[in-house]
Amino acid sequence: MLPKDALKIAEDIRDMRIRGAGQIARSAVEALEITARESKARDVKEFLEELTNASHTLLRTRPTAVSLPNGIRYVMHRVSTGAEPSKSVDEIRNVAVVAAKTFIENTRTAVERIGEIGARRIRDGDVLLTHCNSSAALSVMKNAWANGKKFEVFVTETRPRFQGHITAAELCKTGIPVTMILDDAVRYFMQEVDKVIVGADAITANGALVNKIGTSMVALAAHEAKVKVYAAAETYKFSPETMIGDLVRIEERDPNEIISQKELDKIGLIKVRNPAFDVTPPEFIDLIITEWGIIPPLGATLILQDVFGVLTPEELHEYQTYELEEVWGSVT
Amino acid sequence: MIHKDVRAIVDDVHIRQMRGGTVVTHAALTALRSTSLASTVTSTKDFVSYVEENANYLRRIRAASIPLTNGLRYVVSEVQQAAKRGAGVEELKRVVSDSALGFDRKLEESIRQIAEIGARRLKSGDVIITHSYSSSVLAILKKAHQQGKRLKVFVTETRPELEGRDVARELATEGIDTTLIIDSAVSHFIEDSDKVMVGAEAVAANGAIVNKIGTAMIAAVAQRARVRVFVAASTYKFSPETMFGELIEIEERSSSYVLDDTELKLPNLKVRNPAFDVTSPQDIDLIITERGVIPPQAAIMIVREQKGPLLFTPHEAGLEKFLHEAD
Repeated sequence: MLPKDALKIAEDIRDMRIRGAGQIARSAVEALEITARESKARDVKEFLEELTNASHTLLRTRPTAVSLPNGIRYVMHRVSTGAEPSKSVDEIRNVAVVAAKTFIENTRTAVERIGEIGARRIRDGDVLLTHCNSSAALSVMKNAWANGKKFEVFVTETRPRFQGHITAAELCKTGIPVTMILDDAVRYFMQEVDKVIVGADAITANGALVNKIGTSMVALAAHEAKVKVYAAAETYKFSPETMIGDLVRIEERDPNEIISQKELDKIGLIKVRNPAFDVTPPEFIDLIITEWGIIPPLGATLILQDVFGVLTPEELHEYQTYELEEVWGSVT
Repeated sequence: MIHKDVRAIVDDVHIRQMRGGTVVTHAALTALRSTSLASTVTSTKDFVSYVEENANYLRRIRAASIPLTNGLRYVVSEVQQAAKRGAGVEELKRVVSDSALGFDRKLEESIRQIAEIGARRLKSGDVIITHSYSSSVLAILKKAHQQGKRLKVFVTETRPELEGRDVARELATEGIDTTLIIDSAVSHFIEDSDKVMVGAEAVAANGAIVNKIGTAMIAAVAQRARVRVFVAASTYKFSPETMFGELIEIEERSSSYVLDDTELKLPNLKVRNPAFDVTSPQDIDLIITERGVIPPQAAIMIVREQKGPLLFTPHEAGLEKFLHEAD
């Protein structure tokens, strides 16, 4: 049973009162931290059991969130590797609290640090292209602009929900010149582009990028034209499940995002399919910009091992494969 | 003087932006024919310039459309030649009528033959992706379906004008298993597909095609996934000008199709909206014409055969002279 404050957090996550990948992960970890602090366990074994039970409860609150299992896993990996029977409960408790605080601090500053690191890759006079709305990618561009670099950005409108409009508005507010184009026009303009920069909904063990539908075509067009592709991704977006062979499931969303029911009825008997994400193979990605620095896509396994440890098949049932879920307009 | 029916057809957004070259050409030739027949001018000279002027204006429907250009050109040159032979206005009207109907009929006939030939390339169980509205592609899919082949077709909605919905409606009416997707989802579904089939606004001498924006990316994705890319295009769409270094003009359409004028009014925001793009021949497996299936590299053969009677270019005088010299 979770302590009262931790339970409240779990309920808020479950009932969607807490939203956004970063916030969900931080809140879940905070609940774990509360559990650790308030534990009355008499020995290490009992303490571990309590934390493990709390993890399971928290994991079940929102089975589709990417970041939540990663937050839990980050803390539990450190607790379980530090938990020796010779140690006292307070020592292990301290490990848990420190790990939780570190995770929370890291995720809170990740976007800003990605911005600082990524901005060094932008040159004066660059023409950039971005797809969808990513706070990490925006952070890179805003940081570069704040450093006095002058560049312009092609922004795709990003069907079906036009998140490109949000990106365009944010860039324009900063003063960055923006050209809005159709998703279909990416290849047409690729000759004029120097760098593509996108965010990430998940990064898999082999360095593939799961991101908003259309990203893989943008990356292919860039790859063909020898234009660099950067993915800006917080480490909590890396998917440990894929290390043991699981695939990231791609959510298919409501057809009415694409076409209203009235229009659909006029057309007649057709199906509509609306996947929200697609997978960009690592060959099309030049760099992944994380808050820990820049890595090539094939370095994704290193990040996974450093941050989350090695996931054994036995642990699989605890960290079920999530399905990516799009949160409209969320800024993580 | 530009006839009001001619203006009306040029201003018809539905035709201009949501239909392939065949429909556009048919509409333009029909308008040219009916307005010429209704003309009240009495001198031969005035009639010829009336036809020239209106034909030229009709090209505005779509500068990139080669059959449109070729069709109008054909009518104008027939009229010019008849006038040179000393024909009177009544006879010239007959020439306009016959040549417009004749070209239209040939174009229609070419679609029928393309359907025949293209359907042979489809097997029962094939999953096909198509983009934008093409009469030839629709004819092929319908033909194959009528032959009893079970097809499954992914239709892109085709931003910004969404003519993919019209394609979906036509296929669904025919009873074909149809799935509507957004343009960006092509890459996601390419692994489930066997063939990509698109039309063309124009085929260049090197086998590159000009088609609705987004086609180039779809073809590149398909090629990479080893999915065949078929282009259905009558030989009337082959562009002889490109043999002489002429580039096909890509029009940019109003930004309001991308972003409503009321949305996002920001000082440093531009919108660009090119209507077509160029798919390179390396990304095309076959071009299905009414005269058979050719690899894109063989486009030059068709172009060479055609350059005589059908040539039409914005700089026609200079180029024609050049062509005569080349012969």
